[in-house]
Formats: sequence, structure tokens, C-alpha cells
Amino acid sequence: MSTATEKEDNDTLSNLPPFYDNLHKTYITSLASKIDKPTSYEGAVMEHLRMSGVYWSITALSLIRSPQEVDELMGLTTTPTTSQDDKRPSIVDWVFACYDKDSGGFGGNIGHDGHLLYTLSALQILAIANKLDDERLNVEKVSQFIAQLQQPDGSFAGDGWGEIDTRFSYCALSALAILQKLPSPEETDGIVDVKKAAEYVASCKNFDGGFGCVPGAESHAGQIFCCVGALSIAQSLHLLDADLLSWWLAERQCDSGGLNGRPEKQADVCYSWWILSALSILGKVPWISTDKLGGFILQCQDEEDGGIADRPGNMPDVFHTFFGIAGLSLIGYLNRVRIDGEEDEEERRVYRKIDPVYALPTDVVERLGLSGQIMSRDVGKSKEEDEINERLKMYCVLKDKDEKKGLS
Amino acid sequence: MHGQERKKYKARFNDPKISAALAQKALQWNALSKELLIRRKRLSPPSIAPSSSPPSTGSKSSGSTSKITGSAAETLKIVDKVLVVNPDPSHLWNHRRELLLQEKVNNKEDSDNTDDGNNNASDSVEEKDPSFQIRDELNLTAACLKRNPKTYSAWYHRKWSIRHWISLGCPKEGQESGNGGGEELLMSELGLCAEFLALDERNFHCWNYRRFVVAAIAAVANSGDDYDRETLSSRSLALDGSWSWTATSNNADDDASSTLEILMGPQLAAVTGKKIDGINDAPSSSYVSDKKRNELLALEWNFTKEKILKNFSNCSAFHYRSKLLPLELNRRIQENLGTATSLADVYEERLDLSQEELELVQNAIFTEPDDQTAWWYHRFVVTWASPITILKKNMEEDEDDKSAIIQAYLALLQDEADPIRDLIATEEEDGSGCKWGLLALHMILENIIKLSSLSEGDEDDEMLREEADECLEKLIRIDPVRATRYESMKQKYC
Repeated sequence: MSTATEKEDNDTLSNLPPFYDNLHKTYITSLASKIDKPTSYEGAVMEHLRMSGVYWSITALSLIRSPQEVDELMGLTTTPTTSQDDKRPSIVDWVFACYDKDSGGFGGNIGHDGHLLYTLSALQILAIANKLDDERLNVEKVSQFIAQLQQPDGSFAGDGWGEIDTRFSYCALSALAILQKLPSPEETDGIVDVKKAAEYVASCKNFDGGFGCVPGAESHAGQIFCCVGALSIAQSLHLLDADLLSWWLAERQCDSGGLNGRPEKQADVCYSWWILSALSILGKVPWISTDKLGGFILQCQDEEDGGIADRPGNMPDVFHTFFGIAGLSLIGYLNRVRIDGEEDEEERRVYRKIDPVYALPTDVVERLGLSGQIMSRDVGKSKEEDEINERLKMYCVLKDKDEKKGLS
Repeated sequence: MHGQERKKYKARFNDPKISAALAQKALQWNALSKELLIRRKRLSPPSIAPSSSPPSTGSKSSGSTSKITGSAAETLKIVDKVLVVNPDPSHLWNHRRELLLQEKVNNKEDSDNTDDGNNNASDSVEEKDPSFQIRDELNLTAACLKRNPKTYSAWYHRKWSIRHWISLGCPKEGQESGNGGGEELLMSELGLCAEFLALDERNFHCWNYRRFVVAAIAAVANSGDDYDRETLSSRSLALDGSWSWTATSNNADDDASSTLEILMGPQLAAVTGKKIDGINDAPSSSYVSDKKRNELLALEWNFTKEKILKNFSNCSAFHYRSKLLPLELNRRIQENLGTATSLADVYEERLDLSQEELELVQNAIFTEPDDQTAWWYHRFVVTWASPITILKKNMEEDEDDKSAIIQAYLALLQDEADPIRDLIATEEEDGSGCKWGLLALHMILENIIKLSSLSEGDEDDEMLREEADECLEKLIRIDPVRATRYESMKQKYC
């Protein structure tokens, strides 16, 4: 990239709001005390998915602060510094309090039933906290909980009550990988049949190349992330039509620069993650304009209180804050964008990166040695691509069909 | 909070009246929520000393000395209350299902107070344990869905309830088991789907539920007159919402003839149990008659058409239609051709059907060329109409037949290309350009070029490639955001 283009970029970036680093940090760290109040309406409504809420806040903060800072600020492994009540348990302690012995999985909150969604969130939190070796984690039991949910056709139910959804395929494979219990696709006798899991996901393919909740359900960007992520973890990307799907995903970019989840729907910041991560795995991020996307995300920030909303002018929440920050991280914006309040270029914070397959900081994925598959690796076309390739460097590459045929 | 305008929302929350009301609601919710966890033995009841000790872990509170109060019926009432307020928590639905499925307490054992000898029940008669009534579950989930039409858990409970009801033999109101039938209730469920889709035609939960209901109708078919309780019960255990219907595959690896495609997959896990021949086995899911299946297919085929004609932007309807298309083809092949099927005859059916579908989308793409919805379906149909896969699998076919097939497809492609070229020209005159038209034309040209490699085509490949390249150049100009993709498509012609 020439210096002229870089200057252009900087000019464009300077017309946009800065990244409100400090405000977001405050937003995230003050959430817990707000939401855990018994008078908190938001807390009540979101009570059942608190485990995921904690995962979103921890991971979002982890992208903009170091592991030590996150631990101190959020009380990940010890009582938080921001807590007035020094009897508040650490987050890790609270995670274990949510363990449902009857099912073997983790619930969304204390006393709730084990479910794949919250089991994954719990394991993701423990991974970030580096507490997967905590003696309270019964790896065998949790693995069995997950394994028992696989159906003969390779699909996964969310819990014993039997709801089937491709989201659960992703949760199962990712959770087992984090537990270091995921068999290889070739294994016929593993605790889950990874090959069948991948084939099931592939059977959800639609006329537009996308994926839905079950075979027959329409394509939706959120489900697509889950399916592409699952296929990546299962080393089975060859089962999808990468070109068609990437094109469908690229057409989600609206005039505003934001991405929608399906045709004729409104742009929403959370799709910055679902779609961007899928495109990263497929090696097709250049098929959208990352500049315009970055601009859209920055405009969704709450410049008063921090946090990021689903679209400009709306109320932020931790879900969109996480996906907005993750999106900015994935396109390498955090290291280029203007930071609010920052004067000195040299003192510029170095942000951690997010992994598009596991939705965890890359240093965590590396520490755990998690594996996945990506479509291809184009080198040197753009800064953003290099950025993404850098964070995917540990993954196996499935050669593009064309490359294989020697037609490129 | 999703979709809330910031200034308004903050103003509301800063309003002390509103803030107090919401705080009150939160307190009420938390109290009921805790109460339910205690009744379910997921939390210890509060100890006598008013301490702020942290809640117990998730283990059952065995050894607790406090009395766990409340009958199942009472608990169910509380569950009802909280679910209507917030239907999202799946554990609440789990609790409900447990209560509905639990073994009934023998009321007679406890009734020594109630009979005063005159067969008059006293005021303190025990409430009967809750029994499963489909009407209750349908009413409850409907109330929840009216407030929040996108709640996974509520839709799931509705499906679970329908299956449970079928497994009991489709009991009538007030009964606990039934003698089959049930189609009437299921047809009215389709009516509910139509209502919800009228409010939001893109609600994928509702579309999925509709497909589930169709599978349920197939499951109870023929279970009224010729009722066999055991068969119905087994069918219901296998009822998972999937359609194991025979369809004509376009998959290169499959047999050229009809093959089973699980076009609509399971939405609930099938309860493991006795496997009945012909239910799960592919391809002979023979318990549903062809007549019934064709009835249901026609119902859905017409429903999607209705939706599309009402609004061309209905992506969900087009998607559903893309799944029904191979089933419809199969039906036509069976009906029109019977068993004597030549490749050319089979292909003609495919072509005819494709052309009908293309007529359907043409209205859309020429009326609203900037709306991408119909163009995606257009692309699908043009590709689906291609005989290339079938020809590759049948290389030993008669040369004349093969040639006729290729010519027929070529004609379809030309018929598509010309009006699109006109459309592009018109849009260019207006200055706006026609992105989707250009993409479609490019796709058609690619298909023509591919075909000429199969036949000794007298198509001028060079001219076509130039025209295709020109499409890409124009696209790069009018849709610069996706320029990288268009560049990569150019490379295919190097």
C-alpha cells in the first residue's frame, strides 16, 4: 500500500468518531454492579443468559486491556477492585456455581439447567481466565454432557429436551476443542462423530450457499457463522460452496457500510462479527469494504457513556459492544483508528486480537493449541488481509479449488 | 437493549416514575424466579437468619430442613405468570414440561378430610395435579409469541407440545388420551402460521414451525379411520419435524433417478424408542400415502406462490420454494411419466417447471430490478435447470437425445439473456446501472460457455467472453465496494 493511500485512509478515519477506548472500558466494568442489582430491569430480563453476558463482557474487555488488567478490573479470578461488596465471588467462582450436576453442563445462571450455549460460554470464560485446569472442572462429565447430545444424523440438541439447531453444532465442537476432547474427523470411535457433525452442517446448505438452523431453514448470517465455524473446527470446509457463500455474505454490506443478516434487512453491528469472521475463514474479507464497515461500527458507539449499539443512535448493550469491538479488531482497525483521548502516537496501546473461529483472544487460542481450518491465505494484498492472516497463521489451509487445478 | 433509540431510552430511565416502575417489575421478577428455583429444588430456601450469604451451588438441596411448599398446580400457575412476562428462559419451559409430565399423586390418599360423608368436597380439597392439555400449551405459547414472536423457547415448546399430544393419541379437550385424528387442530396451526407471517413475513421461526406442522399432519394422516394407537404413538416418537420425502436429486454423486433428500431436517430430537419400519428408513417412508404427500406439497407450493405474488421481496417464501422445487418435479415425473422414463422426457419436465418458475420471478426482476431477492431465486432456477450434471452421469445416452437436451437448455438461456440485456440498457440510460441484471447476464453467459464445451457448439465463445468481461467492468464501476470479487471473476477467463 502506498503512502498516498495511507494518507487517504487517515483522512477518512479522522472524519469519523474516534474509538472511545476509555468509555468502553468504563461501560464494561460498571455493567456487573448495575445489572446484578435486584432492581435492575435489564438484569432481570437477561438473567437467564448471564453466562453468555459475562463471556461477552470479559472478551470485549480482553481485546482492549491486558489479561492482568482484565483480571483486576472484572474480578476474573479474584474479588474485583470495583466491587463495593467484598463478598462478591470471583467470576470463575460464579461460573462454577452455575454448574448443573444433574445434566453435566453449565447453566446460564445459578440453579439453571445445563445447556450447550452456556456450557460453551462458561468454558470460554475459563479459557480466558486460564482456569481450565481448575479441579472443579470435571472434564469427563462435561464432555459426556456434550457427547450425549449428538443425534444419529450428526446434529446436536441444546440439552436433553431436544431442540436441534446448528448453533449447537458449533457450541459442541468448540467446547470439546477447548476441553481438548475433540476427536479428529477420521476417528470413528471418538466421543462424538466429527465427520457426521460436519456432514450434517453441510446438509443445511441452501440455494444461496448459506445455512440456517436446520436443513430447510433459510440462510441467516448468525447461523452461517456457526456453520462455517463448525466446519472449520471439523477441518471440513470443502463441504461448502465458498464462492457462492462469500458472495452472499458480501452482499450483506449496505450503503451505510454496515452489514445486515439477510436480504432486505437492516444493518446491525452484530453482523460485523458473524459475517466478518465467516469471511475471514473463507479468505474473502476483501469482498467487502472494511473501511466502510469500520466507519459504521465507530458510528454505533455511545459517545456519552461508552458501549456500542446495534445501529447509530441506539442504546448500547454488552452484546453489541462485544461484537462491535470484535469486528473492529478483526479488520485491524483498533491499531489504526484514532483513540479518544490519546495524544502520543508512541504511547499507543497495543490491542490484543480476536480469533474468528473460537471468538477468543488469539493468545488464548495459541496457549490452548486450538486448531481449525481456513480456505486460503493471500499474502500482501492489503494491510487488513495481512492482519487477518497473521492471526490465522496456526490454522491448516484448504487450498482453493482453482489453486488445486492450477488455474489461478 | 436491541433497537432502542438512545436519547429516548435514557430519558425514560432517568424519569423517576418510570425508573421506579421498572425497578418494581425487576424485584417482582427476581422474587418469582427465586421462588421457582426453590420449588424446583435448585436453590435452598432462605435460611432463618437474615444473612447475605451467597446462594448455594447448583446441587439439589438435600438435607434442607425447611419445608418445600407448593403443589404442582400452584407452581405451574407461577410458571405461567413469569413465562408470559419473559418467555426467553428455556429453563422455565423445562420446569413446565417436568410439571406436566410428572407422575400424578394419588389424590385419594390425601382426601380423608374432604369427604364429609355426603360426597361433598370440603373447601380444602386438594388441587388436582396438572395434566397436559394441548389447548393450554397452545394458548400459553400464543400469548408469549404475541408479545415476542421470535422467542426460540416458546416456538420449541409449541412443537414439543404437539408431539406430546400426538403421542397421547391426539386427545380431545379434557381427555388425557385419544383415538387419533388430530388433523383439524394441525390445520388450524397452519392458520396461526399464516397470521404470524402476515405480521412479519420474514419470521424464520414461524416458517420453521409451519414446516414442522406439515410434518405433523403427515404423521397423523390416516390415523382417524384406521386407528392404530401403537403405530400413532411410535410415529409421534419419531416425529421430529423432518420431511423424509422423495425428491429428484441434482447431486452429481446420487443416482440420476429419484432419491431421498432430507430437505426439511429434524427440529426436535426424535425420542429414541421402538423403530417402526418405513418411518425412518430411506427412501421407503411409506406410511404417508402419495396422495397425502401431494396434498401437502400442493398446499405449500400454493402458499409460497401466494406470498411471492403479494410481495416480491419475500426471501423466506422463495427459500421455501427452492426446497419444494425438487419435490414438485418428482411429483410431476411420477404423475406425467409413470415408470417409462427416458432421459429426454425427464429433462423436459425439469425444463417446463423451470420455465414456469422463471415466469414467476420475471415479474419481480423487471418491476423492481434493484431488489436482490428475486434475482437470487432467478440464479438458482437457471442453474437448477441445467442438464450438465445429468448428462455427465449418462454419457452412454443417445447422442441425438443429448444434443436435444443441450439445445433445449441453450434456448432457455437465450430466452433469459435477451430481456435482461434490454433491462440493463434501459437502466443504463437512466444512469443508475443495473447491478443485478449484469450479475445475472454474466451467470447466463458463463453457462452458455460451459455448455459449448459439451456440445460442438457453434456459439461464438470469444464474443460471449468479451460480453461477460464487459459485465464485470461495468460492475466494478457501479458497485466499487465489491470490486475485488468482480476482479477475481475476471481471472477465470485467463
